[in-house]
Amino acid sequence: MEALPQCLPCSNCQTPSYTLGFPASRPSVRRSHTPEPVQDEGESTCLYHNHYKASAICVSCGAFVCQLCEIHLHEEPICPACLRRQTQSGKNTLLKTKHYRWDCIALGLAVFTPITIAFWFLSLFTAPLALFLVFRHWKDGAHLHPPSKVRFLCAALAALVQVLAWLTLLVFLINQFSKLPSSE
Amino acid sequence: MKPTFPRQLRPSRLPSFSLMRFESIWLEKDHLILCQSYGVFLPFMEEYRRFFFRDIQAIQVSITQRHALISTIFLIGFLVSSLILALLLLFAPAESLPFTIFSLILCLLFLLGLLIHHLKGKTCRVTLTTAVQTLSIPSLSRLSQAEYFLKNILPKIEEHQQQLSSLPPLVSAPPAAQISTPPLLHTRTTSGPGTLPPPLSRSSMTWQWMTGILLLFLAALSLLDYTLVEIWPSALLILFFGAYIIIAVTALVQIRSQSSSPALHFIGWVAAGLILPVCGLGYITLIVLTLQSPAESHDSWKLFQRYAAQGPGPGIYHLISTLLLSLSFVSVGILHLWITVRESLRLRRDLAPTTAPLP
Repeated sequence: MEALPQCLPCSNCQTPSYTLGFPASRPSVRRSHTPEPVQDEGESTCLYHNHYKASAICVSCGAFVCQLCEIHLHEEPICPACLRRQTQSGKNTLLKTKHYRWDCIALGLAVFTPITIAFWFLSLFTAPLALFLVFRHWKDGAHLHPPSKVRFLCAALAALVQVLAWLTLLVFLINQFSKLPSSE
Repeated sequence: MKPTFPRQLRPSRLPSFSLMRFESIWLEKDHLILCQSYGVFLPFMEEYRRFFFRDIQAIQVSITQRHALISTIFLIGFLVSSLILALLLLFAPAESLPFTIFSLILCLLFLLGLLIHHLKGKTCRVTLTTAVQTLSIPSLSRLSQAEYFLKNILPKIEEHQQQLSSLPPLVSAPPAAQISTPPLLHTRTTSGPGTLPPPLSRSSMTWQWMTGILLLFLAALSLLDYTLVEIWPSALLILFFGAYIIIAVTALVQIRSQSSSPALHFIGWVAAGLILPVCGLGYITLIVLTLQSPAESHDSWKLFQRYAAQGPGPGIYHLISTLLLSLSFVSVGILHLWITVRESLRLRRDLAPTTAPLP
């Protein structure tokens, strides 16, 4: 690999900078998106544009698509309908743009509430919610990070301790109320 | 098949003083992932932006002035806190030990910040260009981080665009329009004659205007400082002096970055040469008076009245320092606004539509 260039001042604004250009910026390598019109009746046509010649086959549904409709994912062509379907289903990780870290959310719910001493009473609600999230999303696949259940386990343990503490407190209060002398 | 996961480049800083946002960069086999994580202490949600290596057209690295600005702020904080510490150690009574310890901690914090900032190196801005967008990567704020990023990504771009460099041109261009470049990389470090200069961003222009007007406002305020001292406590005046210094130095750094004229630089540094010692002397005045009369430190006017009655002393001294300060702020403010007006006119002229004949 070539060594990185030195920063030189711009002739206009004097800002030291350098720009690395790549072959993708050359006009000659930009792929032409103009589809070819159909010339013979026996030629395959695009599913969405029946007057254009098909240039690829969608690997997902097998539809013929023209150069206008051809979309490449991992170097394989797919059609716009399959792209929309895969985006909505969320199964294709390449199309995923947002991801909720349920392990961190569960851990935050289980740990942050008792730490904030002023809001400890909210653990009555956050602890069961954290347990629910742990069971609900235990089998969710990891996205960027390798799968790790450590956070889920910590959240489950902390939430379980809080739930047991609340149950103990409830039993204690019931016992105390039952020992009170009756008004008769 | 065992799933593979992308490799993470070094985790990035918290951009824009945000405590709830964290950015990281990940490398997949054929694309780059910019991941923005949101959450307090833990990332609760992540958003991804992917850039395929075959689609990256250019990467630009520009050195920014933020390094000088942050250094200046840390240096001023260190100088002021060390000055206060020195005065407390020399003149303060035993009851002010907590203030001495506080000043010592403040001094050490500023020094530590300054050292860490210098060890991290120069600040920069990295911009990624594709066919559909030009995106700035805020997490790559240091030159060392940018170089580490480029050393990891350039081989991958080279690998994925290898076949693009060998493709024949779709349209044959006349010989004069062909660009002669090395096989994969070409660098452009200066803009040629006749090309448009890079336009200033709206936010930088807004900041220019605000700083200039604020400087003139502070100049007017400092003129009133002599009369306002009777109603404002000394502690607030000390904070004001600190704010004056920071804002003036910020403006000077901007003046230096936006102008290449040695004359303007000289004028700017002369003005700074007036502001800094005047503010420093103002600090000494107030701190000495406060320490000598801690019971009356909440009322500066009583202090000045008492010592002015003893003859030429801190009262007149404060008047002279205030006048010099106002003069400095007026000069820096006018200079700053003049440069802002010039840049606005240049921006409007350069972005105006031209009527050049088509070939």
